[in-house]
Amino acid sequence: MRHIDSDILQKYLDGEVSTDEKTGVEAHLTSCDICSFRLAQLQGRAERIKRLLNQNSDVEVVLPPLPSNINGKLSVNVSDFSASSESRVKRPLLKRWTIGLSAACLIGMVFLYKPLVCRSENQKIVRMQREIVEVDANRPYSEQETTLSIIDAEGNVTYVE
Amino acid sequence: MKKSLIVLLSIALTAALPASAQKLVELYKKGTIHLVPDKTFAQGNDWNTVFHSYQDSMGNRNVGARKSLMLLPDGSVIVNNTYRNFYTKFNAQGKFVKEFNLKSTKGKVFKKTEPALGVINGNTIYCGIDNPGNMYLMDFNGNWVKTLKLNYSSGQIVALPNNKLVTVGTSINDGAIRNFVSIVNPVDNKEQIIWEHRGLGTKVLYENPSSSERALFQYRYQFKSGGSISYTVDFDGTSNWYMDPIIANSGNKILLAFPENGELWEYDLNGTLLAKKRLGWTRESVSIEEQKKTLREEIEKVKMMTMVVPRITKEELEEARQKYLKEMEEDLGRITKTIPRSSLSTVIKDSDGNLLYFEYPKEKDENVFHVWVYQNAGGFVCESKFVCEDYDLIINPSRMVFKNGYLYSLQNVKGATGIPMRLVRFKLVGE
Amino acid sequence: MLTNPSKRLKTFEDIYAENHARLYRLAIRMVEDRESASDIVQEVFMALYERLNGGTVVLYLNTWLYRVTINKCTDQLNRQKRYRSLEEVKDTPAEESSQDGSEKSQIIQLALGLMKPSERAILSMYSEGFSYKEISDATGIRFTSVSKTLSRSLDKMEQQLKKQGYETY
Repeated sequence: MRHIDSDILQKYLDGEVSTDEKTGVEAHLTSCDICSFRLAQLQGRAERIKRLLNQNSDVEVVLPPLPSNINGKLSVNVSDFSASSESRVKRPLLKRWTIGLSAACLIGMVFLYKPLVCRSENQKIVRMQREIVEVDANRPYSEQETTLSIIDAEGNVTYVE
Repeated sequence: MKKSLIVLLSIALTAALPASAQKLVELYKKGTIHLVPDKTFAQGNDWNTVFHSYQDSMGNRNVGARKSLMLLPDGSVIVNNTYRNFYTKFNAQGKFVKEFNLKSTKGKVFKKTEPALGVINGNTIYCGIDNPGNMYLMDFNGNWVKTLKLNYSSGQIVALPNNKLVTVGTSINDGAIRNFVSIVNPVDNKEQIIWEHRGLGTKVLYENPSSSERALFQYRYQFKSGGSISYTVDFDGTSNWYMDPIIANSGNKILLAFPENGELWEYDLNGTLLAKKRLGWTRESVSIEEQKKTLREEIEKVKMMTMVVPRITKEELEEARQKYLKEMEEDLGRITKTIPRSSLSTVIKDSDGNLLYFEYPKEKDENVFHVWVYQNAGGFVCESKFVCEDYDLIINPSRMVFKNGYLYSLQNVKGATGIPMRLVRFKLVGE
Repeated sequence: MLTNPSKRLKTFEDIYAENHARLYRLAIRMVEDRESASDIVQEVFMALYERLNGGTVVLYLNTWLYRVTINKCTDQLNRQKRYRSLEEVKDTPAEESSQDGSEKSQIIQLALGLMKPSERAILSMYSEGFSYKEISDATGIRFTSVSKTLSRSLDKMEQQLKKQGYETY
């Protein structure tokens, strides 16, 4: 089963997909827990990083005075689109999907879904675990490249790259 | 007539002599081994063409860089290309020969293939196990020989001198994850489990262990509607979560090394457990103070963690968080023992049959390996490390294969323009 | 979807007051050094003043301000070759890293310091809620490449944060 590219999921959560793309993404999400989970991860990450970046900006400075050769009263014609700092990008209404994953730990989260509708594409997840992709004995444990492996009820393993 | 026969024989013997007359163990005892590229090997290859798939990427991952190699008995090299269905072949001098596919008896190319891992019976290559549980066997040119049906996914596969294979597998059994080590006979497809670990099953999930039974640093919350979510606290260089044993073969022994406690279990080729030893390096344990400090840090993280799970309410997730926090606070008072630091990452077997067990280093390029010799009683000999000036070493058995005292490897050369990956043959030089 | 542009009369002082803080924040994220950031922002407003005083109408002021700030920061970074390797960062004495005392901003600043100018720019604008179109206009990244570049930058940031033991949940 093909999954949605991370780029497109990012576009989707930022509200930047076209109407067609949006329909396609949402249709896939209703039957794919793996992509829903991935979307949740991306949303959580974006929110967290934005928050951190904006926290960093409590470096408030007193507004330095304009240089004396500047006439502050100069009146200005300003043509602008309404994308000022007040308006925020509209995000699509998402159910809150983020799951807390500790990167330093190997977490196994075991979900046993009771499927509401039985579909052939619906992949019941039995175990999700962070695994090392390729061990490198020349690098610390915390710097190993990892991937999420998801085992479904049939024993199929998917790797979320 | 006789004279010329003798001359011919001695030439043949000379050609088969290993790279260094010295045994490899003597080299390792020097403490630092320089990997010096053999300049006569792999000459005249256009690496941008040979490794054209290097730049394959999926999402943001450079999957094309994940290549591995194996050696055929005559010294030719086969390189595996992740997510591609062709193998790249080099001759015994390292010169590129061809790309080939796995083909059926009717000549049809297999669309999805697994890495070629090794040789059994001197003439057959066995590949990794694919998702549906098939292991393909092929000849040295990719012609399909046989399919072994193993109903599990497998991480490690090692050939044994009796032409059987030992594997570490994962399967689902009655809703539980099962990890095991099994000896597989390619002739009749029969398996023999020599070690097993059962994970959480459906029954366990629906029982709430009382707090006296709960293991330290593992926290789990069961949802009212079924399923659960868990959290474990690890310490640097160790993991509380289950880790597969690392398997190896030396002589007539099968060896299982357990990363979480550094134990080494020896079996004979029939799967009988012979001895339990400990991989003998000492590393400091995780002290009680460090455990408490880490746990306190984790408590702060859990307080700030956003937990959301599909189809589970905010309220229930808040209950889960509160449960974690309560148990984590309890655990602060329950820490009474130090934890041994496991650091075992991988094992490479050299061409003398020695096993080189590697740790996870604290810093990049600070690799250390421990040499275990398995002639006679077997045991720990010395500690050593690899250094290499010209390449960015990635150390694992799929990238580094010994033959005749040389180390054949797939590594990225430093300072390359274009595709940096090279097939290289290293001479081992003691400091 | 564009709304009709609205023509408003403002003074230069207004523009300065409304935009200084966030341009300064953007510059700090990109060049790290307070003094340089301050100088750059002053230069940006000087440049704006010269145009306006000369009678030029500046369209899409927001984007213009961001674009010029980003360009000036990028120039400075390229001149100084300030993005350092990880080894150098570890050796950096405490005074050189973020002058803000808080640990969190140190962490973010360290992480940003390991990223390319275009990545710092895209993350800064993204965190302020700009659309892909605006990000594209201000940074010069092709509109169709914004999601990929953003994805990559977020990946990189996440990795750097993890390395510092800081989780992104």
